[in-house]
Amino acid sequence: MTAQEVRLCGLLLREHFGDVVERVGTHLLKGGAQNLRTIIHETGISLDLIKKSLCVLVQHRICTFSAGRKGPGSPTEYRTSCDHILRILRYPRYIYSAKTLYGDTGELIIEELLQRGEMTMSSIVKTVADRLTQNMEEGRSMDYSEVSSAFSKLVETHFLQRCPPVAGAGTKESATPANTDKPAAPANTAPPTAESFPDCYKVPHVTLIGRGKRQLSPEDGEDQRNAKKAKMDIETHGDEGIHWQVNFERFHLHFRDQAIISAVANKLDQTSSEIVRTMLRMSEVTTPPTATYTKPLSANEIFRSLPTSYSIPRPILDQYLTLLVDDPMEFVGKAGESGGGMYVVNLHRALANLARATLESVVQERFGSRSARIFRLLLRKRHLEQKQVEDFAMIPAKEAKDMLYTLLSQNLVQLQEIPKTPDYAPSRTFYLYTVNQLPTARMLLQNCYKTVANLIDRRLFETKDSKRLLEKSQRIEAILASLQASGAEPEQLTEVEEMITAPEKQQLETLRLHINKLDSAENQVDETIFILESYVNSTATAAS
Amino acid sequence: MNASSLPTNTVIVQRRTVTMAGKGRGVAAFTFNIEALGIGRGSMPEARVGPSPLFPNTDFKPVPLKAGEDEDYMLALKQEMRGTMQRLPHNIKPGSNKAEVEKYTEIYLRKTGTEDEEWTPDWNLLPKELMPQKKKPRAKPGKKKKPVKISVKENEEMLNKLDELAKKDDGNPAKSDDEAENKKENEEGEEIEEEEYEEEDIEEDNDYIESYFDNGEDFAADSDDNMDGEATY
Repeated sequence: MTAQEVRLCGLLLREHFGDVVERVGTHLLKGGAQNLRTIIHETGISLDLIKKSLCVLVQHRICTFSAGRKGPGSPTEYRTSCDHILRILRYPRYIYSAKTLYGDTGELIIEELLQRGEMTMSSIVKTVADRLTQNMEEGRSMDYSEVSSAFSKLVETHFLQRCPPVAGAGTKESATPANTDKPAAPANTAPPTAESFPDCYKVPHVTLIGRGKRQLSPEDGEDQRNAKKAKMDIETHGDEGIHWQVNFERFHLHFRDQAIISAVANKLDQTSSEIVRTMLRMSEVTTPPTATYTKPLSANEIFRSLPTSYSIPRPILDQYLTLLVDDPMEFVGKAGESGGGMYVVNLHRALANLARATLESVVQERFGSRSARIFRLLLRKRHLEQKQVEDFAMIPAKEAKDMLYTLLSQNLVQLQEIPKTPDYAPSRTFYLYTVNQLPTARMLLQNCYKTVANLIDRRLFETKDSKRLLEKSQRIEAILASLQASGAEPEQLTEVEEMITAPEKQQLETLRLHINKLDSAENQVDETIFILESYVNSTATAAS
Repeated sequence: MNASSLPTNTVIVQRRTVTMAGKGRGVAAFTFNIEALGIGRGSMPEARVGPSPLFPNTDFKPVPLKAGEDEDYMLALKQEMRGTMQRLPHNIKPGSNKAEVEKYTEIYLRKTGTEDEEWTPDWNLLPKELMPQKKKPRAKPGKKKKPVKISVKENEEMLNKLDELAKKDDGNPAKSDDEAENKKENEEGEEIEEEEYEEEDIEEDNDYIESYFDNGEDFAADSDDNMDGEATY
């Protein structure tokens, strides 16, 4: 929980959930597990606001609660961690991949779930059907069954999962099957993961017959009546208490696969990337998420599962596989000879190579291609003396020295001393330059967090600067919309539009441009964050 | 001075201290043979004279952002999501100051915007203590008089209240910390406590009126002498 992470989490919470939740959230981040009274006492916010904020945080699974440490009678403790909050940055990416995989329906399902944290299947289906109907033409509406089938497909491929049952919360539910391997032990510090729940991917039997309703533009009198009617219409669909959440890990695996496939496509060619894509697709369900490499696949199986549009003859496939194995990037490895050759995709090594490429590219863009050459040299040759660096990199001594010192001061390169004598006399010590990939990756990851926090800060500053102007334009848009809805003449519309003067329009335009740029930059820094985070996490699991 | 205790990346600092030590003689003097490091005496980088600038000049400008259909779509998604989440009931605003005159915009925005339902979470998923306490109607009028009758001094009111609440095996969350373990059972007590606070605020205005209706039995408790040690039961 570094200072940069906490700062970024605070900004994200503030943008999406408001100031109060931000204060409660950052307090929890900095203070570890706390109970309700400590939170009230230390933040000084009123009791019911804190209660509401905690409800919101738990609903969105940012905060978890558990029985206190002192025993069954002690108050519940709440804890959060940075990862859950940092995922908020990636929400557009999740929604977009759902769209590419499952179309508009899938996109809307994921979007609703991300906005609300967790929901029951029936409420999701209804809301999504209503939203889809809204965008369709008049007279057509979306059937619930289509949405349900999209939902089931998402569950089948594990993109959605059931929320785990929570011990010690409210009344115990007997409707959902009890999870026997999680007893209500008081000193249980590990929170139950969704995976430990045996039925986490089972779609419940829900009778949902109907079509989406189009939301009519309400007039004042009817509003009240409609609201009352809607409240009386709440039927139970047989899946109360079964809440669904987005399975972020599965999305991360999907992104990782995408990154590997595009890297292969960039380095080799399209056909090799198709081969790797086939291999990854075949091992989706058989490979655990933290595996170092996929399950071995024989060349015969790969040949049979290639998509029909890529009909390459068998010997060509073998040649491609050999090429992939010999490539220094080591994405694919050979695990045996049976079945025409057993091949695996080296997941952790692929992630390490992707991270290394990211580091090299960072050095290149910040310090120039010659510094990047020195950096790559040190990555490959591990330890080098200054003289050797100059010789291998073929750069004149003075410039090489300068570049090395710049890299050293930026902490991208480290110095290792090897003494010849026990007293570390400088004249009798070897000084070797080296690059450690993992600590450097961590450092760059923290830089990325700082970058995103700075981008958000700048965007808020720009918005605050032109707040008056933005409000004015909002007002005018609202007036225009209502005038248009009530059928006004074009002269009135132009008159209202002219209330914004031309220089103001110009200012609004530049503001919009800046904000779009900053937002887009946040999205793209998040891609780098994802690769570096996956690399760091993969080494952590490998070491444990 | 030897480098035995210095971390590996402070060679530069070490050189600076060495030069400062040799300053008296006018020329940078090193205690070791500088040629071993591979650098000549004339090619020393400049010593730093202060912290690095906050916004240094960059020779290399950053790479332009990727621009394409995917990126535009994700940008739109991001901005939409931000807007929606700010309008949802999840977004908790601290007590907003209502302007005396409702702004003209608000009438229009309310018409076009969607109605915001109060969001109630599924209480099965949340710990019990987070449920907002429902206000139970006050059934005992006798209790009202006691906090009102007490004189204006705040600590006296507190004492009284503490003693009343001590009867209900309760702990004041702002004061007694040893009641931490019984927090769960204290919800009821807390709730009544909160109500008493609120009713006090209302009734303090009428303080001088209601003191006319003095009940004889509480007469002794009112005197200041008794307030020091003895609590009223």
